[in-house]
Amino acid sequence: MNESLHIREEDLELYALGALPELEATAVKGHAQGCAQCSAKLAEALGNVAVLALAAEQEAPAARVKEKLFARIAAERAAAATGARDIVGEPKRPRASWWNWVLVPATALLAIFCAALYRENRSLTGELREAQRMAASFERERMHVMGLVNALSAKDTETIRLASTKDGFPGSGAVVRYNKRLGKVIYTADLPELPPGKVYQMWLVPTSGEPPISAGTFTPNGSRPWDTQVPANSDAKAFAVTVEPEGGVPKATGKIILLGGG
Amino acid sequence: MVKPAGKLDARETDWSLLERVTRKDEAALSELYDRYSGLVYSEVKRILRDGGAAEEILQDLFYQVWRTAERFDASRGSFAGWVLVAARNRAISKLRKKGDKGEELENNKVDLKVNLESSTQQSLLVQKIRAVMGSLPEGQREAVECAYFEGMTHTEIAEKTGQPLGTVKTRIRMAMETLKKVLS
Repeated sequence: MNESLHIREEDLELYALGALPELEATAVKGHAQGCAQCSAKLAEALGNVAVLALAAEQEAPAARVKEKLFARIAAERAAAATGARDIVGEPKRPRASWWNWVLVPATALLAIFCAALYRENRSLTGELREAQRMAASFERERMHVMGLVNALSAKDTETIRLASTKDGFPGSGAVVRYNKRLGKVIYTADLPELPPGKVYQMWLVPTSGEPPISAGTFTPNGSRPWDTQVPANSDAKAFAVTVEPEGGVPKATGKIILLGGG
Repeated sequence: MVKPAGKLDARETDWSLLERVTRKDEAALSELYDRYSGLVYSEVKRILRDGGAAEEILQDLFYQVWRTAERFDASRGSFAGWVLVAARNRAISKLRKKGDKGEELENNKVDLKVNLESSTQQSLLVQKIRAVMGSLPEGQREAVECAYFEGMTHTEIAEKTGQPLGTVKTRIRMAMETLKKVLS
């Protein structure tokens, strides 16, 4: 299940069948909730699995089941109608008997108890939703890291070292790992802090002579790598870093401070 | 008034009937019940091997449709698919005494590649699926039936059959491939 960025079809089918153990099922569910592609495939898998119901020996239910169903609905409607009449005003009922003095407080206590249970239930439901949200978030992060590991360990990933230019900061540099097939760019950089409102921007310089492709903006953050996606199969002649306004720019405006590659 | 159960009429789509159910049209619910009660009851009874419990789930499921029909729309996929998935999940939850498993899968969209809105289509498909299941190698059929009708995980199936986990997964995958070919 963890070989690629998406859930394999057979695992989705196993999930749809309910045949995955709890931990794996949670991982599949978490991923599918945040992935439109896997969610669509899960819908297909559920449809494929659902037809297995037709393998059962076919038998019609007794007529009484339908009668009970509609009797239940009729009772519900009657209760609703009675409630409505009560609201608009029915004739006064006979005086309540003495035991209403017991029933009324007991009912009030029961109502308070139900309200407490309702609040407790709402609180637990909220906690459950939060836990599910966190599980989905962890799963997305796990898939993201898995994607980075896959790209870094791929045989066709190149390493490009960027060195400071005459316009850059002496002693600074960066290391870019680039997988052309996946369009994945992962890099670390050793650069000084910038004044507020400025960021560094990484660029892929295509061999075709086309304008540089942005590979994301970054600010110094220790040793954590940045990663970004560029169009797959982009031939890179070089990678370069410029200083740009916060948020980055579609076309480089600053001077190149780091450069590396062919 | 409730229409008596009779020959199924596929002139009106499930979505059209559901739309009428949202307006509390009992005849529309009756039509939907007539369309799918046989499939649902047979599926649940096969899982629970208990007619009474199957009747209870069938009644509860259609009562839910009556109460919450407005929640069903095209974004949920096929109604027939949903009703089969929901019925199975409730039956498996009851069988395995799990209170929540069913609710999760019921919230997913279900894309059914076949149309089950008429009794003729249902009969043809029942024959087809039963024929496919009958033609599967014993190991494949057993693995799929253990998962679908007994709610077993692949690990449990491996323990029950004494086969390696990989073999069980392969058998389920091959059975599903065969099924998909027939459906397409």
